[in-house]
Amino acid sequence: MDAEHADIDDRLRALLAERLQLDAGVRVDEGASLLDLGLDSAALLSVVIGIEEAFGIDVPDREITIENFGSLGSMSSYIAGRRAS
Amino acid sequence: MRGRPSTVAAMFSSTVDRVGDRLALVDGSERRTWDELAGDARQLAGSLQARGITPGSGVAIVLGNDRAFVTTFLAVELLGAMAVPLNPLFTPEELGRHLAGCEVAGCDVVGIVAEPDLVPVLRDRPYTAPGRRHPWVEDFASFDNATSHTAAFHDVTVDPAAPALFAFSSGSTGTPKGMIRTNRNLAAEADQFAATVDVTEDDVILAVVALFHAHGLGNALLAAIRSGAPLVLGRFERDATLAAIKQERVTLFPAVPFIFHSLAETRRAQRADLQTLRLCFSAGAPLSQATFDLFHDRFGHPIRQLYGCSEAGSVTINLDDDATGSWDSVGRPMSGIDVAVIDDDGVCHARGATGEITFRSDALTAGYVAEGESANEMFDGGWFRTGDLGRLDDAGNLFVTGRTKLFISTSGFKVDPFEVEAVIRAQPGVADVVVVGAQGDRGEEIVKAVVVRDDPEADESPLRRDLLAACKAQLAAFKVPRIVEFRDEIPRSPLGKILRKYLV
Repeated sequence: MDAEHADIDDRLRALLAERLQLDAGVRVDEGASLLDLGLDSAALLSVVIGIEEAFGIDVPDREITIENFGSLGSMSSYIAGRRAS
Repeated sequence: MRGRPSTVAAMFSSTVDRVGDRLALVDGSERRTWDELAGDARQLAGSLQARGITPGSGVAIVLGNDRAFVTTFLAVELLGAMAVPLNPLFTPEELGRHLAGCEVAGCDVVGIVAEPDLVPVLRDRPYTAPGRRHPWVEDFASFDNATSHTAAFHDVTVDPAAPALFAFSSGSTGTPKGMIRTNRNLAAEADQFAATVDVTEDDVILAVVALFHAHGLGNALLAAIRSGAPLVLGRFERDATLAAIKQERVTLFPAVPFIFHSLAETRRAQRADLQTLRLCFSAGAPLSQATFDLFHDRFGHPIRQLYGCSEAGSVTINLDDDATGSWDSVGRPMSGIDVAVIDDDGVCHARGATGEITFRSDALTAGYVAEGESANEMFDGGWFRTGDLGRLDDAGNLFVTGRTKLFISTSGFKVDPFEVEAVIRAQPGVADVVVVGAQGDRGEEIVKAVVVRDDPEADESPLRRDLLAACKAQLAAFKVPRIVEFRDEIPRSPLGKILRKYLV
């Protein structure tokens, strides 16, 4: 994994822990489903708002999908893609 | 001069007569004037008549916030039938349970108009009692198809006392209770809201809160039907909602705290133009100061709190001149509604004292159907005991402070479980906590805390000791839990409400 991805992942982990109120000991695996960590539609929107703030991007509502935001790995790819474009 | 309309059909007809050529609704790219909407509703009413809907029949409406919902609701009301709005996000089991609840309550659901994907699910579901006729199930489009409109609508005279709506109250505790609200109830609710908020045909109402719920039904749909203000329909999405407010020049924005918070927190919302809004009001959950401040800072609009319930629609709204100073009040009674704060014996409290909030309103249902006396004790000589705790200040502003029904009666005292929960939740090692009243050995209630640990493997004994020590230090002795039970999770309903009955 390149440095940019690693940096995104670290910041995402911190953001998820804050927005989903995860326990300190929980480490989010890249592929794990966030639905299992209590991500419902309201929590998903909260995470997306946090991502917009942290990474300086705007996520159109129609792109707020489980495909884009259902796991740390998919979020990370989405963010890297948006930053590259 | 004719009196004020006292049925939904008469309100609608009066608005169509008055402002028929003006815009009635916007649903994506579709727009309808009141005249066009009346045509649509009469056409659908003819089809529903042909499918056996007569005055008093129930028609379940399992639709989102769209033109289909509005047209179906109006068609049902033109027929003097009873609308039964249900959440289209319900699981098949939940829909079945609510439809079975209608049957138990004597509400004869003859037909169901549902979202297309729910039609096969509902058609297959054997929720009616053996021997009963299964209701027909259609999606709106199958009626809306021009070729199906062969039946002319025969006008029906609707009695103001006739049922207009069958709704469920989930309250904060227990199973949903069914209730009927008459045409007169709904007309009174619309009158009260329109008079208090001064809604006219020059307003534009954004309807992103669910129309199947009391908030959206009363403060968006009925308000529009009564006043002639157009409805801008949709589901909540930040971009679409912000764009709709600007494009359609929305003036009234009913929503819930989550929606206001999400909009205020969104970076690009800072560029949004919400100048046309004249009233943003929140119901359904308590508003936090953080949400109020954030929204006010971003958009310059104070969020006003509205207090209401499924039993009567809206009861109070905060329209105070000093919106910032009284942000946490739910305001004063709507026009025609009386509110009082009483003690356990039903005696009115002096201003400033906390007690149970009660009110009387022409919009109030006569009671829960097919429920025993205990459920209907809340209906007390025309007054409704809400089960919510509150106080009135000197100016008559109401503040909601908690719920009585959750209170634990122990040692002759009442314990507010939220107060005990707050102490326990602040302790290290606690992920979640719910405090309930459990039955003691001698039939008395005792305070019990159900705790979820941060680390499920953590040793119980030291944590229990620490929690009790914190409670003893911060709470009166009678509030300190007698039982601390550790569990892996707190049971919650699909809507997220805590299922307290499984914790006692």
